[in-house]
Parts: sequence; C-alpha cells; structure tokens
Amino acid sequence: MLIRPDTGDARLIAFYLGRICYVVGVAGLVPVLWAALAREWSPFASFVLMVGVFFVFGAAGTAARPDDDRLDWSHGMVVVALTWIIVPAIGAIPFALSGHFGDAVDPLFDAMSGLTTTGLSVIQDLDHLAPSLNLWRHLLQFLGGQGIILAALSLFAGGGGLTLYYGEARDEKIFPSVTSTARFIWGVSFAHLAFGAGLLFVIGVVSVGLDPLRAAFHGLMVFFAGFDTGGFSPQSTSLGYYHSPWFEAGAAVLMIAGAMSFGLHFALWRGRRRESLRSLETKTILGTFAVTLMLTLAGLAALGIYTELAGLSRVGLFHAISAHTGTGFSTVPGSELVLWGGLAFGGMTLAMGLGGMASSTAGGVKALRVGLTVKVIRDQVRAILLPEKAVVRQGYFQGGSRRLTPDLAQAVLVVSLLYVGLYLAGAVVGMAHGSTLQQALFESVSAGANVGLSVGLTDPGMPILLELTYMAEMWLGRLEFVAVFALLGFAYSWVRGR
Amino acid sequence: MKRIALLVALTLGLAVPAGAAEIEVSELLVAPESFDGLEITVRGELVGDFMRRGEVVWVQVNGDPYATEPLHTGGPLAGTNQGIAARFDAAAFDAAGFEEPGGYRVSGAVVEVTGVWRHHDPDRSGESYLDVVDFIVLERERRSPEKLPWEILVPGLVLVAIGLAPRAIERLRG
Repeated sequence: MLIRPDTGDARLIAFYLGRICYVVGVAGLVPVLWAALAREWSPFASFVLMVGVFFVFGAAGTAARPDDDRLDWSHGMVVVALTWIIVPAIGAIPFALSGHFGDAVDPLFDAMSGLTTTGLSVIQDLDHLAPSLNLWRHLLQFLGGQGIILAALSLFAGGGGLTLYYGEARDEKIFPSVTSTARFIWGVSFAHLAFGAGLLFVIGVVSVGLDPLRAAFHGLMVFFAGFDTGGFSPQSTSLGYYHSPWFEAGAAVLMIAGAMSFGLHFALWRGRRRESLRSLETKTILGTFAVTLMLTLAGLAALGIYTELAGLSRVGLFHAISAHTGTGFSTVPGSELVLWGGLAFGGMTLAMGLGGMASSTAGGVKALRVGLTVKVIRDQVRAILLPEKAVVRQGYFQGGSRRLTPDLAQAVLVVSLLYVGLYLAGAVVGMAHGSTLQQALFESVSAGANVGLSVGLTDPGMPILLELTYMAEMWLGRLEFVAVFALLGFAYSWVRGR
Repeated sequence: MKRIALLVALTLGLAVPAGAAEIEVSELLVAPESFDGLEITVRGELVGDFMRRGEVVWVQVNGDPYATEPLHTGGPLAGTNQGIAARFDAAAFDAAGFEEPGGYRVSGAVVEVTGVWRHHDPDRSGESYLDVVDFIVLERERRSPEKLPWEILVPGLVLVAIGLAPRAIERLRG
C-alpha cells in the first residue's frame, strides 16, 4: 500500500529547504556588495529583492521546525530535487528585472542553466550587461558546480547530511564525516580559485592586453565558469573574445581540473599518483578523451574547415576539452560549429555525452559509469567465451580493489541508459520543432550533459516547449535522475497514497 | 567643437577606400569564408575592452541593433549580440581618442571600419578577424545616468527584514 506523506514529512522537507535558502541568500550578498561598490543601482535593488525572497523562504521553512530533524533517504532526495527548482526560480529575479530577457521563462532558463553548470543561454545583449549581473551568472555556476547542498553542508550537517550529499549526485566521501568532506571540497575549490583567477589575470594583462581591473574581472568570471565546467562567459563571443591561445590554455587547465573528481584531487594532493593512474575512472577518461579528440580532429581535417595544422589542432583540442569536461566554452561562433558534421560531430557529441568524472563539477554519463559499463560487457563476453567452469573475476580498481556486484552493474547500466534516453528524448523534441537530427541531438546532449555548446537552437526566440525540455534535461542530468524520481514518487504518494 | 573637428579629420584622413564592400556583421557571420581576404566595410559599436598588444589594439565590433538603440536608453530587445573581432593599428586607434568601450550603461563609439577579413588566419592559428585598414568614427561614446529604483529596493529591504526577524528574535531570546 502506498503511504501518503503527512504534515510531519512536509515540515521536515520545508525545514531543510528553509536552511538552504538562508545559505543561498547569504551567497546572494556577494553581488549585492559588488553592485553597491560599482554603483550599479538597478541590479543592486534587484539583488536586495532576491536576497529578501531567499530569507523569507528561509524563515518560512525553518519555522516549520520538525520534532525530529533526521532526514531519511527519500526526504533527502526530495529536498535536493526541490532545492534545484527553488534556487533557480528565486535566483532568476535579478535576471528578470534586468531587461535583458524576452519573457518570464527566459530568466529561469538562464538561472537553471547557470546553476546546473550547463552554460546554454538566452540572454540578449550580453555585451551591455551589468558586471554585477555577470558576476551573479557566474557565481550561480560556482554554487551549482560545487553543489548548493554542499555549501549548506559545510555550515550545517544536521541529521541528514549524508542523504543530502548523495542526492546531489556525489558518489564518494573523502573523509569519514560529510561536513569535513564538504569543507575539503570547498578548500580545493578556493585553492583553485586563487591559482586559476590569478593565472588568468596574469595572462589577461600580459598576453591579452586587458586593463588590470578588467583582467581581474575576466579572470574571475572565466575561473568560475571554467573550473565549475559551466561555460558562461562575460562576453557574447565566449572565449573567442580574447584571441589568445595562452588564455585558452589557461582556461583548458581549469576545465580539466574541474572535470576531475574531488577524490582524485585528494589522491594527487596526498601524492598517490600511481594509484590515481591505475583507477578505472582515470584510465577510462583518458581513453575516451583520446578517442573523441581523434574523431573530432579527423572529422575537421576531412571537412577542410581548418586548412592549417595549427588552427585545426588549436580549435579541435580546445573544443574537445570543452565538450568532454562538460564546460561549453567555444572559440568559434555557433554558425561555424553547426558546420562540424560527420566525424567531428560524432566526436564532439560523444565527448559531451560521456562527460567528466563522478563527484566532479562535470555532467554527462561520467567516466566511472562508462568504464564499468565496458567492464560489464567485457566480462559477459568473456564468460560466454571461456569454458563453463572458468571463473571470471569481477572486480575493478578505483582507489583500491572493489568488487563489481550485480547490483552495482545494474545501477550503472540503468543510469547510463537513462542518460541515453534523455539525450534522445530532447533530440526528438528538437526535431519536432524543425531541426535536423544532427542539430537536435547535439543541442539535446549539450543540455542533458550540462555542457552548453550550441549550434544555434538555444536562442531567445526558441519555442517554449523546447526551452522547457532543455530546462528539464539540465535538471535531470545534473541530479542524475535519482533525486528527481524520488520527488515524483513523493508527489505521487501525496496524491494517491492513503 | 573638438569632437566635430576630430570627426572631420578622421573622415578626411581615413576615408573608406573605394572598392571595399559594405556588409552587415550578421551577413559576415553567416558566411565568413566567402569574404576571406577581401576588403570589406562594416559598421558597429566598439564593446567590451580595448585589448592593447604592442602595436595593435583588439576590439570587438558589434553590428547588432543595440549599437544604435541600446537597451539602457529604451531600445527594444533584438536577440543576441552580433560581433566580430577587429585588429586596429594602435597609433591610429589612439589618435581617435576613444574614451571607453561599450558596456553597462555605456554606448561605445559607433564606427565604420574598413579592413581585410582574415578567415581562419594561419598566421594566428586559425582565428578569424577584421584586419583594420581605415575607420571613421560615426558616433562617440555616451554614458547613460542611472537612478536607484526605490520601488524595487524598498520591498526588497522589507523582505530582508521579515526574513531575518525570526532568527534575530531567536537570538535575542538566547
């Protein structure tokens, strides 16, 4: 019998949502301060309003104090799924008041795209946007990439830290406590912030020729979008704006760092390089990157779009990294990207769909699942080919020897198939709106894998159904389905349960 | 008076050469390869940053409707920006006395730029840009003043107060 959730369940969920709203509201004070200092008064007022709404939601939620604040698995998942709707909805307020968006859905699209670190955008006249609003776009990517829940967990763990942590699609705990793991992740991120923004600042001043103040601004924005594999950029021409291979190289380093799991960061920090290289996930991502890069380069060479080797390798390598890490930076306009057919299209789409490492800021199927899927298939084939009495050892190395249990294999295959289904569903909606299969698939994979590269379907004038489809893809893809399914199950139980 | 004199000087001294095809930036972005190596003239607003690198200055030239009807002066929404990169000679660029590029509440100078379109330039490992030969300043930079929108700020402050009140009361009660 389906049990209907009671008001106690609702109070528990509201309580945690309230606490998270307070934390995000505090993060919203950063652009408030920035706008005040820069005397950008319209954005300033809109940020104050946004923070006010976050705080009111925070107060309303925490007022529903439950008798027992321990979250079980399903409650935690529902909190996570709702967080990733409420935060973009409130976070879109400054966008909606900026005058840079056409209708009510567009600001929400950009906020969802930012928070899920996708990077697709329907903003208009980006080149005249207030820097404080640009900061908020990129800060959303930083918050989303690190994990809003993670931000909250570093401040409070309460009784539901673990389930909230896993709900946000993080698979590994680096330290025994979730709070200390969350703090480690933030520590790694702030270390990268200092290094990455500093590196881009130096390149910006020395190589690009920016004023120091503007170089600092660009460095910070590109760091947020690069390390968190988000893909927003402060100017309309993305990273092509800088016309600098050095700046692209700096951004590429950040993209790669962002697509690495925090477990790998930890292992490297502890000097466990050999162990890191032995891991199934590392070997898989190196393999898939090599394959997709070769496909992209061969495709571009065959198309003859870039006739010189330097141009071909610079553009091909940068975009392969951008696609595989799920970042979505580009150095060429969408009108040029749409010409990348054949093998180049295949290489890029495959790279986007596969994505980065688990427990990183990247999206997509993730290297660990890809590696395990290949291993499951290989083991099955070996079991068939070997004599009946032969035993196929079903294990893998990932920070230590692990057993590949049937349950794990099933979970991996199911999630991988769900991603494929998500990509195809989005492509069908795209085709229903008149796009070619190639364009529709590219854009759908870009949305579902939280990448952000676009061949032009994502546009301020796009049909609303397509816009909503891509938003749903971003949400599902970022949360890796489980939390969303838990929310749907909760809603169903609420309606049909007894 | 100084501005008019500068405009006249630039118009006379750096007039658009005959033979350069006048095209829209949007046309150029649709089929950039077809203009490779050709001398073309585009109109647009200088936006973003003046990126000074030795003897050249890189600037983005936007040829979209926002160049003439910016949002901050009440212009309508007209889609995404349409911009190309342009590489200017630093001496000529500095002589024009540009104050600041277009950005938030700043309409950058609107220029008519003539140059050779380099599509996937092998000398710059595949970049595409306009190598500027001449330019004319059509409009100078304009900065739009900004007022504090009290009608948004006051409700916002009220909400902040309401949102923080329960926690403040809780703290006071210990």
